[in-house]
Amino acid sequence: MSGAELCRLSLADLAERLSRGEVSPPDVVQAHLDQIARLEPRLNCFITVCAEAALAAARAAGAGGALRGIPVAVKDNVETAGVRATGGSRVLADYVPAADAPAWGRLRRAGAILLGKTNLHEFGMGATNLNPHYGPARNPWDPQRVPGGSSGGSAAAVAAGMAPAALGTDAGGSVRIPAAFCGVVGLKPTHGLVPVRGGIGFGNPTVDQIGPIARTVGDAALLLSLMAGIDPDDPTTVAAPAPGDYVRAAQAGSAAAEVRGLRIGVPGEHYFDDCHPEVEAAVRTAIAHLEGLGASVVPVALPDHAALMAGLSGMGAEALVYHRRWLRERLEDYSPPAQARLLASQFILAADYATALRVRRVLRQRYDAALSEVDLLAAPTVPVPAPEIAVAEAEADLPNLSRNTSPANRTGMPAISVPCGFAAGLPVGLMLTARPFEEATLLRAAAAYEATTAWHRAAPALATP
Amino acid sequence: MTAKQTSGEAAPAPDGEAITADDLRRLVSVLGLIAIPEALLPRVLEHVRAHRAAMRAFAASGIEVGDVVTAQPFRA
Repeated sequence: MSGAELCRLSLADLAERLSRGEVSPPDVVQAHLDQIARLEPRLNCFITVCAEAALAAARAAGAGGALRGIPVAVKDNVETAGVRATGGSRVLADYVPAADAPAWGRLRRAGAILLGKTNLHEFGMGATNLNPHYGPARNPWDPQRVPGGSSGGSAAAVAAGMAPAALGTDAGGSVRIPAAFCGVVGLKPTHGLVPVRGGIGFGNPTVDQIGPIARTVGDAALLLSLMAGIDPDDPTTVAAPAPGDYVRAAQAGSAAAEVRGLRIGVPGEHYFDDCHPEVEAAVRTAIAHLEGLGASVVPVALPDHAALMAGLSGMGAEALVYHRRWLRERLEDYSPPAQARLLASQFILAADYATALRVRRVLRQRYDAALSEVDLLAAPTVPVPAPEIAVAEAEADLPNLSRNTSPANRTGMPAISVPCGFAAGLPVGLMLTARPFEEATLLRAAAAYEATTAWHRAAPALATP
Repeated sequence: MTAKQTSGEAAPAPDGEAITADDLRRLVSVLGLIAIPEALLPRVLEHVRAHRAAMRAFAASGIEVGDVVTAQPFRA
């Protein structure tokens, strides 16, 4: 099997071929390093590539472990022992953590090899991945366009075959937005399911999550199953009330290729507003496809959604508390957009923040009500295709890319983005949202959709030599 | 949730609607906040006005949250 072919295999396929001895861990790692060498000058997905360490780990890979000998890329705001973790910032340009973030440590203990640290929006504070310190990561479907963010390097690397899977983080859509823009799968777990300890710049501990980005739903399920679980040193983690077998759920959905009995709600408010017509058409076609697989599709109401989202504005104060230690002395080490956003949050009143906490509860109640009638909500992950970098740089013309993704962060609910078509030649994501801790339902439905469509098999032209 | 106005008092300024760069400078000075470079003030002002506009929009909705008891977002 050629290196290029290895770079299109799923985690599951790689694991099987490795276990059968058809390929070796050094073969797999070298193939991805070659792909990185070929495409990195065009895509700028990585801040650090761990070539020598990854090859050494591959040569030393022992037996056992679900990810034995498989390289994984990690967003550079997740701590990695002995490998610098910049958070996409100049402030932490030389920061080398002593320990792994538990989410990554669990993958490493399952045999995963750190391939490199991926590019991101500065401190994860944005959805375009325009990074003034490390340069913009670029979309492999059109390098003149953004890959989305903040986990843009991770999603672009996975789409381009530079890594079979990657970790991202998601405080407002940062796993799902780039997954949608790059045509891959991105999952934001329920808040509390995966430890967030060791996340850099996690200024919003009540909304941040670490989640998998992969080329198949099954791969996302595998990574989630390895990362999920209580961390005694992370107070955000909780025991899932109904822990799911995520891998089995994805397998069941894929094998059954149907979703009979599943009730899917389509929000009447917010999610389809000002949608690009081709995005809307792709997503509505995907929803109709799920209906064809046996789901019942019904409209759902989310009363007062716009007002409640506005009432959450005070949440911006959380990030200030994280960054205040550096803002007084090292303000110039932040980009002007980050400076402006953080300094402006000084003027958020305590009452605004207290209001936001209460509003969040009300918003959650609205979603609970909607999800008492249905099992999943379906909507576009992002209402537009990936914008051009030049448009994103102009800022003023940029639509709100996190409009559809941020409610799941504010409410703690799990959500997944799966490829569902193209708009203007660029990938479109279908977002499914479930009740808290019902990732198994999400994965079953997403896998059934994937098994009966071909969108996930589409690859950007530059991914193949 | 509109603010009540007491007879005889001056009408309050609309909430943040007319906030100016001078207002921000004064608040930074009086409250000892982190200094804002002059060149950055327009962008900061834009964010502050957007936040105040969001809070006004929420207030105008009439949704009352004073009695809401908060919990972790994932708990019922």
